[in-house]
This record gives sequence, C-alpha cells and structure tokens, in this order.
Amino acid sequence: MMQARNITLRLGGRDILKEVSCRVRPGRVTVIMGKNGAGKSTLLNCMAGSLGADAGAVYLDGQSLQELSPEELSRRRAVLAQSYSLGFPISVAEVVEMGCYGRYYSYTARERKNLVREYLQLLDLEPFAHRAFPTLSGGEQKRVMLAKCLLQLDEGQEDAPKHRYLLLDEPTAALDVEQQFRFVDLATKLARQRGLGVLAVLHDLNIAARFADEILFLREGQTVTMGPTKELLNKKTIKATFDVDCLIQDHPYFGGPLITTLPYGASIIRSTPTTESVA
Amino acid sequence: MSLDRKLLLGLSLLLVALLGLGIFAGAYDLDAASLWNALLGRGERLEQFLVWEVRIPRLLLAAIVGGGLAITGAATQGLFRNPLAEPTLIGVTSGAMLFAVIMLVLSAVLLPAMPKWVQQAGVSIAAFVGALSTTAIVYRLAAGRSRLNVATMLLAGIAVAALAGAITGLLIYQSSDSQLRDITFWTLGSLGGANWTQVVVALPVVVIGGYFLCRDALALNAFLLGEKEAEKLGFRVDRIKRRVIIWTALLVGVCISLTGLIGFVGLIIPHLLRLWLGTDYRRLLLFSGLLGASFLLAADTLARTVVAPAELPIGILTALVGAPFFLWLLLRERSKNFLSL
Repeated sequence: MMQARNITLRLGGRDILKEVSCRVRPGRVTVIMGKNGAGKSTLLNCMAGSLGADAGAVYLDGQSLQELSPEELSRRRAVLAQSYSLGFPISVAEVVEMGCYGRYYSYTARERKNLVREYLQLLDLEPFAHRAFPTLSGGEQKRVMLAKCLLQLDEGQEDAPKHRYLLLDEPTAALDVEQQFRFVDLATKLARQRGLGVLAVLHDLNIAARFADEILFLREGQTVTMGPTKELLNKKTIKATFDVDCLIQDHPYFGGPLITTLPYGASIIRSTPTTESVA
Repeated sequence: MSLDRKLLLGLSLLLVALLGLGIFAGAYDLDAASLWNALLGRGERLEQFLVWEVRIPRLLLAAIVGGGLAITGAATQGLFRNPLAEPTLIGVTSGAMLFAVIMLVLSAVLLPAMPKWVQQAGVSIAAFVGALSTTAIVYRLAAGRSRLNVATMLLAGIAVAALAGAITGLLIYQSSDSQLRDITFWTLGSLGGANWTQVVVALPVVVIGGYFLCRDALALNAFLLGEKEAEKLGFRVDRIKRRVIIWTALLVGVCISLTGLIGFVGLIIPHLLRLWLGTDYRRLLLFSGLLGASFLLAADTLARTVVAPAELPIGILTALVGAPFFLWLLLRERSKNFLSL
C-alpha cells in the first residue's frame, strides 16, 4: 500500500496541505477531488516523491520514500504529469522507450525494441511510432505518456517490486468529453489488470463515481473526508467540498449515481425554464 | 548493418580521409613519394620535420578540438533544452577570453619571472584557468544553496560574460598596437601553433570527457521532457547537471585555450545532425564529436591552403560557414514553428 500520513506542507507561510492522509491499495483506484487550489496536485507530487513535506511522511509498502533511491523509486511508481513540453521534438517510440531508462542496461537493444513495440501495441499507438511527439493530438499524447508509465512499471523483470503504483495528475485535463472518459477507463483497466495501485486527481464527479474505489475530498489543503466511493459521493460531501448543490439520480445505463452539479444553487432549478426540464 | 553502425563507419572514414588530405595539402608542395618517405622517417630532414612536427600534430589538434567543441555543444543544448545554447552560456568562453587578454597585455610584466614552460604556454594556461574559474563563478551564482537552476545559470552566464567583456575591453583600450593584433588573432582562433605537447594534453581530456558526456546521453534524453520528468524516471538530476557542466567547462577550456576562440562548431554540428537523425543523445553526442572533428579538420585545411603561403584565422572560416547556416536554421524554424520553447 502507498500511504501518506499526516502530510503538512507550507509554502510562503501558507499551509498548502495540513495533516492530510491518503492511501492507495494495489489494484485499486484512489481519486483526489477538490476545488482548484485545494492542494490535490501538491499531494500527488508529495506522494510521488517530487516534493518533500514539512511534516508527515509517505510510505511505500511500509518503507519511507526517503529511504528509497531515485532508481528504486522509479521502478515502484510512475507519474503521468498534467502536461509536457519537449525541448526538441522526438518520436513517439523514443518517448515510450524512456519508460525503461531506469533499467536500461539490464536489457539488450533487441529486448528494449520489443518492449517498446509491446507497449505501443497495448495502447494502439503503433501507427504513430515514428511520428514526432508534438504533432500528436492531446489525447494521443496522453496515451503515449501512459505507455511510457506502464513500461516503467513493467513486471517482466524477475526482481520486479511486488507492488507498483501509477499516479495520474489530472489525466483528463485538455481532453474532450469522450477522450476524458475513454482515457480514465483505459488507464484504470490496464492498471487493474496489472495489479497497479492508481492515484488520480480528477475533476469530473461522474468519472470518479464510475472508476474510483476510494475518494479523498480536499478543501483548502485539509481533508474533508476519505473513504469508499459509494459511501461518500453524496450531496453533503459534494457541498462541503465544492460549495455546490447537486442532483443525484440513478444512472440509467451504468447502475451507479448520475451527478448533475448546480453551480448557482438549488434555487436556479425553479427560476429558469431550461433547468426545470433537467429537474 | 544498422543505421548507427553505418554512420559510425561513414563518419570515421570521412575523418580518416580528411586526415589523409590534410597531410598532403599545405603551403609546401609535397609529392606522394616524398610524403611517404617522410612518414617513414626517410628523405629530407625538412620534409620529415614538416610532416611529423607541423602537419600531423596540427591535423590531430584540429580533429580533437573540433570533436570537443561539437560534443560539448550538443551536451549544452541538451542541458539547457534550448537549440541556441552553447558552452558560451556557462561563462567558459568569456572567462578564457578575459584571462588570455590579461596575459597578452601584461605578458611583458608577468612572464619574465616565470619558468620557461610557463612563458611558452602562458596564454593557454591563463585561458584555461579563466575558463574554469568563470564557469565556477557562474555555477555558484546559479546553484544557490542546493539546486542548480539552469534558467538562472543562463542569465548569470550572460551577466558574467558582459562583465568579462567590459574588463577585456578596458584591457584592449590599454594595449599597444602589437598586443591588439595578438588579441584580435586570438579571438579569431588558429591551429597554427599546434605541437605534440598540445595534442598530448588535449587528447585525453577530450576523449575521456567525451566518453563521460556520452554516458549521460540517457539522462539528456530524459531532460527533453523536463528535469522533473527525468527525476521521476530515476535520474539524479542535480548530479547529472553538475557533471555535464564540469566536463563541458573542462573540454571547452582545454580546446579554446590551445587554439583561441573558434565559434559555431558547437552550434552547427549538433543541429546538422539533429535535422538528419533527430534528437537522440545516444547517437547525437558521439556523432557530433566525429562530425565536428571532420568539420574543423576540413576548415583548417582550407584555412591554410586558400591564401597560401599565408593562412586565414580558422574562426573566420567557421563563422563564414556557420553564420549563414545559423540564419537559415532560424528562418526554417520560424516557418515550421519548431522552436516552441
């Protein structure tokens, strides 16, 4: 299990995170939700080991992150960042290959090539292999980066660490409505198949409702609540986290909740004809 | 045969061919038979001396310096993630220039008290000391307490270069006409003074430094996605940055302290290969070194034959080829919007 225990982080005299705890179980999906500036990405970066906390610590299967070397850490967790800018354009295959840089010399050139091909195929990226990365669409770029992350956590090695974790920092940012859903579906499905624990920062309540096992709600750097999705995705938590009212119905197709947020409060339903039809 | 092997073979053959051509060419006409005799240590003394003590060390030095400048150019572009980056940015050139000029202007005062070998190599030693100490200052300014910020290093490099330039200017203002001529020629670079000692000094530094830079090729690739990404892939980013800067300063310091300033090699060679092979530092670094060696060898052969028996300062030739290429590159980038930094 990946665990953050009572993380506190101050920047410029302000508490960005205050005694926040979070856990990610192998093979499960934990989602962090909250308003802009609530500290979601900061928490994710702390748990990735990119940011040091002022108090509290992050543990990977019982070991503190500080005890792990960068090489060891890179084999146990991979991070999909919000956005990428390349210094120089390189090909999709070259980007994906970076996933195995941590164990570069334990492979032969042929093995590396095969691995890259395997992961390109896994994410339907083979036709793009030799395209320059910046020429791809946002959704395609995200898939390339996911391929890189999954290769980084490839379990083929004999001495592969037992539990591995995939951290997704706003994976749906800049994707269209269909791509958002597809991408999270794909990432969580592949991660579950491989027994990877997933930690994701998400904004869409319905996507979270569908893919998260557990949700951590953050507000102004503090925990609102954390627990199983089914128990927590209710009007009370959403109001306490986002200051918005919402409608929760049974989803006509998926059998889960269907959440409609009402940004200007419940009163708007009665005052405008367009929302009346929704209600 | 893979592309890499073909390229390695091709570039090595090019280098050997240019070495062969370089031995032949020059102000003094050598026919094949007397060249062969001279190479075997037979025949006329003068010709033996010309081949073994003048041409061969000069050719080797040209190849070594060209290789060193090109490989460090590629590494600096990778480190700064910027196609316009050059070792100049870390202060190494301005420092070498300042100290060389100090030595050239004050040699009459400083040198007589020194041992003979210092007198002979005074300008080189001063330039080398200047190159390393200025880089160290720029590095300290940018590193702060812990982490090195490359953007700050870029700015600090520019500021320190401006300061060194101003002091250099002051010294030039004070210098006599003959000193001014020496300074001007130093800034244009020349391989005219090449000898075996210089080859023996430069070869190990460039080969060992080049080897260590090539070993960081994976990290430089990962830097393409940003330092944070490189860190998440398991690279010890701070150590790698420091290592690349130290080797760059050493290599460039040695090269320009022996030959004076030779511009554009470090800029155009990596770009030429980048356009052709893409940016994969696993091949870009090594091949930049090989192509840079060939380029400077060819440029030097040209420099000493076009106006024979005189010779052109080599910096003029490299800039004459380099500047138009650079402009072409800029225009091409502008139309392709490929410089999206």
